[in-house]
Formats: sequence, structure tokens, C-alpha cells
Amino acid sequence: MIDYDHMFFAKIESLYRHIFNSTLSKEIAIFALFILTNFLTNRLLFQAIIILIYILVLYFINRNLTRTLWEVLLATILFSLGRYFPFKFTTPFSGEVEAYKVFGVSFTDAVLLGLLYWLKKSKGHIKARLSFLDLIVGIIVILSIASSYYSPHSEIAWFNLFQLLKLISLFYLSRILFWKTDYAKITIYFMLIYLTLNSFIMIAQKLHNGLLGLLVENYLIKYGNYAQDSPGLFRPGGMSWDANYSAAFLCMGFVFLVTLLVYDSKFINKKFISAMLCLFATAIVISASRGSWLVTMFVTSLIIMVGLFKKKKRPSEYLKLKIIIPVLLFVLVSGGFIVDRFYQFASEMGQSTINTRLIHLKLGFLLSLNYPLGTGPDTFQYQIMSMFEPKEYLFDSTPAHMMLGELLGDFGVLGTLAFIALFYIVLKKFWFSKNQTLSSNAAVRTGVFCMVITYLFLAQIYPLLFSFQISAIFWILLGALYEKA
Amino acid sequence: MRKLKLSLKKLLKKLSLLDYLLAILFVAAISFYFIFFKRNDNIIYIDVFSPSPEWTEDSYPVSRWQTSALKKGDIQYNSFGQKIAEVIDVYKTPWNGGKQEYMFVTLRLKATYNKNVKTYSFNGNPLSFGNDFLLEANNAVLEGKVINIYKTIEEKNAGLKHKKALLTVRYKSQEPWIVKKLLQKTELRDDTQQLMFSIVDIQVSPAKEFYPNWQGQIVASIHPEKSDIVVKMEIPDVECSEYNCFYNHYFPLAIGWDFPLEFGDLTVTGSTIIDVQYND
Repeated sequence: MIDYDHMFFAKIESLYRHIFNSTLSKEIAIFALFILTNFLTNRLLFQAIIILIYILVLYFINRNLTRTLWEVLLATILFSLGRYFPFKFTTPFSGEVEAYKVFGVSFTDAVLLGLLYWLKKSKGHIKARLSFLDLIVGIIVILSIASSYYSPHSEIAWFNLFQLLKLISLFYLSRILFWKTDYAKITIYFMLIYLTLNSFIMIAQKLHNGLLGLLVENYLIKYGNYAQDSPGLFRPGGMSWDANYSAAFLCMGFVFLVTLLVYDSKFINKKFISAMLCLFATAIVISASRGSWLVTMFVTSLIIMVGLFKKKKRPSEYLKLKIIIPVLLFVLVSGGFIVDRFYQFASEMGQSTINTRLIHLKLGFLLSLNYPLGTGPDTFQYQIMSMFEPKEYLFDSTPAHMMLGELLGDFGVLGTLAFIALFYIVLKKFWFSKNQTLSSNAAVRTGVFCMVITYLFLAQIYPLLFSFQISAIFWILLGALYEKA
Repeated sequence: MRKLKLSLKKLLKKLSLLDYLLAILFVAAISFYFIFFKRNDNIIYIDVFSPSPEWTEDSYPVSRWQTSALKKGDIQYNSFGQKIAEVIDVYKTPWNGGKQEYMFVTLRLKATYNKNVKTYSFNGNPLSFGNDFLLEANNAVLEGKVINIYKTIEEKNAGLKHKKALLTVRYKSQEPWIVKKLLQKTELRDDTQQLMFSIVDIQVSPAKEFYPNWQGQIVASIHPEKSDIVVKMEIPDVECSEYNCFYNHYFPLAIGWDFPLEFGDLTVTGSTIIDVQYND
């Protein structure tokens, strides 16, 4: 007779031992506790106390303040814990900046400053060198300062310059810290945990056909964002107010997991990968975000084709991957809905179509002709209102739904070239690096490369450049990719 | 030159990536300080009219509960507790029987002058004639349009001459209970107890009405109940531009124009201005 009770307790015991034997597992367990606190309170004072406790407990576990602060920084970025301002707060230089943009900056700022101070104090950790890339970053910073100075919306431009500098700081921090493998591991684990939780919430919201009433949900949009575009279709956004934004982030995670699967990486347990892929795919489909669908399909097929081409995997092996079946079934079942959404996307009628993106590119180009240095970071949406007739921007003043348009408008032609040069140098360095071996690390590096590419594609469809959370992750990945390549 | 190159190379070798990041942040902080925080704040004066003068669905006058909350001396503070705007003057004009009111508000602002685009901005928003304006005072908010910008308070009054006016208005065919109530009135004061006008003389005569008789001739008749009223009133302060003079900043005083009387408990309509005389 089998003693089921005994087996159950034995399993629990082994799990307990597993968690409390390695520092990484302990850190993840503490991260899970930290996430739980987000479901219990959203009072700023309590959150500040929770963050302090989180720092203390982590430091007690790993005895490494740099690592502790990095993890807390990541947690505050992922869970947008910047709300030490009341709802309608405008910073002295934020001007007309929307409230949600002011969210997600403050706790992150404090931890970031603390980390920078600690890094400067403890010199032993740093192993890095100067390169041509740093010159390009310097040029970007100087051009951004110039564009903010000459901006017709100087308050907003300065505020967003401040955001851009934070992103650049994260780029440098990841370059400084990621020479130790553990940092890369914990960063990616945290990101995947966040995405898994978000997909669960998105699926639950879709089943409930509305918000669930959790404290982590964003209450700005009660009936689902874009309800005016497609009435009757509730688009769940999980913890974010924007379904497109959540789907874009999930798309990056999906692509990373597919790479791990194709390259047979042991970075994460294969069962977990399959489960997460199913979850992410479902969440991406129900988000009804057409841009994310397109990019997911495009990049996934690219990865599979490269896998075939480089003989990492044979065609017959792909069929063995059980993940493909549920995803295919799901796509086929919801096929009519997907075709319908794509049909809208390709039409010239209404907003949020391919036409909109091309118009934003044109507007960005016209702005760069009038303002050679640009109108200042993230001021595209304000300047088009003063420069063009409403019909020219389709009666909707939004940030450019195309990164090139946003860069041209905000930083002018020179700034755009500098940004492109920066991305090009990083991607080129990876592409031509010779250490693309079959090791597990190589798979992770390729996964990070794919995530960066995915972000760059997505940014041509959605306004992601100044969306702090996803951009922060992108700049961290960009820095890691450059140093690790 | 060679020495300089060598020392520069040595310095670059010593610098770490973190130093480079800190240098970038330092340059940005210095620029923030000198370009942004060191900008000169100017005290300027603006007039705001609420709601927007265009008659759209959003431009109904503000409800009375809101207008009565915004008072002279209300202050807007920024997040650091600094005073950035102060209400110097509030004028109200009733609408819809006094349920809602048009508001003219004069504000003293701490505004920033942008040398590049040559405009003032307040709390991050550009100040230009016709721009939307939002005041978030400690007591109430006001949304409206900027209708005047002055550098000094003297400039505010320079364009307008203040005069006294003697106005004669005829109110036709008034019911007897209106006449009875009107005869008790001597003056009108606003909510700050400032005199708006005082009634000098009221002449009541039976209402004359004209209509065609059975032969098609127009004949005059005397109404048995209704009265025509001619009211002479003295307005202590009217504002005159180069074309016209205005009562309560808003109503043009021109012969032939309306001048409805709006006391708290009495409204007299059916008016025509028949004479205006000014004393400087």
C-alpha cells in the first residue's frame, strides 16, 4: 500500500529544503512575499515600510548590499511602486504630464540613488571599461539636454529627460553588475515571475469580464482600455491599465522562453517553460493586441528558422515539443476573432491602424525639419497639437506609436542617428561575437538578444520609448547584452 | 601636447564605467540647475474668464456653489509649499436666474519667462491669450481662458478708463407685482458689498400697447393693469475701452441694448437702454 500522506509531506519537505538551501531560492521566496504585500496594501507609508523591511531581510539573507539594492530596484520597477505622490500631483517640472507617468518613479528613484552611492563607496565590485559606445551615450545625453533647452514645452521636456537619464543609468548599472551571472539570473527570474502573475490576472479578468477588485489592478480604466475602439470587447491589461502594454511585455517573455526551448537550455526547468509559454500565449491572445500578435509570430518564426538553419533543432524535433499543440488549438479556436482584429488593423478607417503609425512617422519627420534639435524628450504628443490641424494627427494626440517618429520629433535627426547607432553597436557586437557556443549561457544571451529585437519591433507599433517599466527592462537587457557579448 | 595626450590616456584608464555614468549624471544635474532651476520667476498678472466664451456644450457658466467658494485672497501653492498664484479680484455675472455665474478672475502669478519661445509659462503650461487655464487654489478650482496678461498691476488699468455713468432704461409692459417690488429697491451691491448701481428715479406710467383694429389701422391702447417703467440709475464704475463702455466688465452700455435688472429676489426683463451719460 502506498502512503500518499507520507509522499505529500516528503515532497513538501524536499521543496522546503530546496528553498532554504540556496540563496537564490530564498531571494525568490522573499520576492514572492513582497508581491503578496502588494495585494494587501497600496498605502504609500506602508509600502515605504515594506520596501525597507524587504531591503533588510534580503541583506540578512545574502549579505551583499549591492545585490540587495539591485533586487529591490527591480521589484519597485516591476510593481510600479512610485506612488509617494497623491493622485493629481504635478512635479515642479512635470507640467501637463499625466498622473500615471508620475507614478512609478519615486521609490525607484530613492533605491537607484542608494545603489549608485553604495557602488561608488564599494569600489571592489566594478569591472568595466570605456568604449566607443560611451561616447555615443554622451552625445545622446548632450543632444537631449540641448533639445530640452530649446523645447517649446520645456517643463515636460526636462521631466522626461530625467526619465531618460534613469533609463541610461539602468543601462550602465546592468553593464557594471552583470559580469556576475547571478545578477542576470535573478533579473530574468523576477521578470518572468512578474509576467506569469500578470498573465494569470489577465486571464482571470477576461473570465470575469472586468476588473477583479485587487489592489494591484489599475483603476484608471474600469471598463477596459480602448473600449471606444472596439465596443463589446473587454481587453484585460492585468496589473497595467493598457492591454497593449501588458501584451508587449508578455511578448518579450514569450520570445525569450521560445529561444530557451529551441536552444535546449537548462536555465529553467522545461516543464516550467512549457507551462509559462501556454500561459503567456493565452494572455497575449486574449489581450487582443494586434501589434503584439504580429511581433510574437514574426520573431518566433525567425527563432525557429534560425534554429533550423543553424541545425540547433531538426523539423521533427519541433513536432515533439508538446507546447505547440495547445497554442495551435487556441489560435485556431479564436481564429475568426483574430482575423477580424487584423482586418481592422489593416483598414485605413479609424484610429490605431497601420496608417496611424505611418502618419506618426511623417509628423515626426516634419517636426524634425522645424526643430533640428527636436522638441524635447516625450513632447511629440504636445507639439503636434500646436503645429498641426487635428485632422493631420487623426484627432488624437498620443505619444508617437512609432519609435522612429518619436525619436525624430523629440531629438531631431542627429539624436535619432545617435540612438540608432547605440542600438546598432550593441546588436552588432552580439551578432559578430564568436562565443555563441552551445552552452546554456549562450542560449540565455540569444534569448536576451531576441527580447531586445522584439522590443525594438514592438516600439515601432506602440509608444514604448518612454513607458518606464518596459523601457527600464529593455535598457537593462541592452546593457547586459553588450557586456556579455 | 603629447604630455596632455598621455595624461588624458592615464586618466581614461583610471576611470571606471561607474565614473562615466556619474559624470553623465553630474553634467545633467549641472544643466538642470543652471538652465531649469536658475530661471527667473516673474510676478505677472492675468485675467481669466470662466467658462470659455465660445458657446459649446462645455461652456455653460460655473455653478454657484463653485463660484462662491473661490474668493479674493485664495492662494495656490506648489508641492514645496511656495505661493505661486493669488486671487486678487473676482467679478461674477449671474446667468440662468443666478443659478450659475460667469466669472472674471484677476490673478497674481509666479510665472517663468521662456527666452526661446518668448512666452510666459505657469506651472508648466504656456500662458497666452485664449489658452486654457487651470487654477487649483487652496479652496476651489477654476477652469477658464486667459483673456489678459499684464506685467504690472498698473498696466491692467491703463487700457481702460473708469467713468461714472447715468443710465436710463425702459422696461415695457411690467406686471403690477413687479412694479410694486421694484419701487422698494434703491441700490444693488455685489457679494463684496461694493455698490453696483443706485436708482436715482423711477417713473411708472400705464403700459401703452399698439395693435391693429378691425379696419386695419394701428391704434394705441392703455393696458388696464400693466405699466411701462423708466428707471434712471447711477453706475459708480464703468470701464470704457476705445469703442464702448461696459458695466460689470461684461455688459455693453449702448442705446438700444438690453439691461435686465437682476436683484436677488427680483428680475426685470423686457429692457431697452434709451439714454447713457458719462461723467469722468
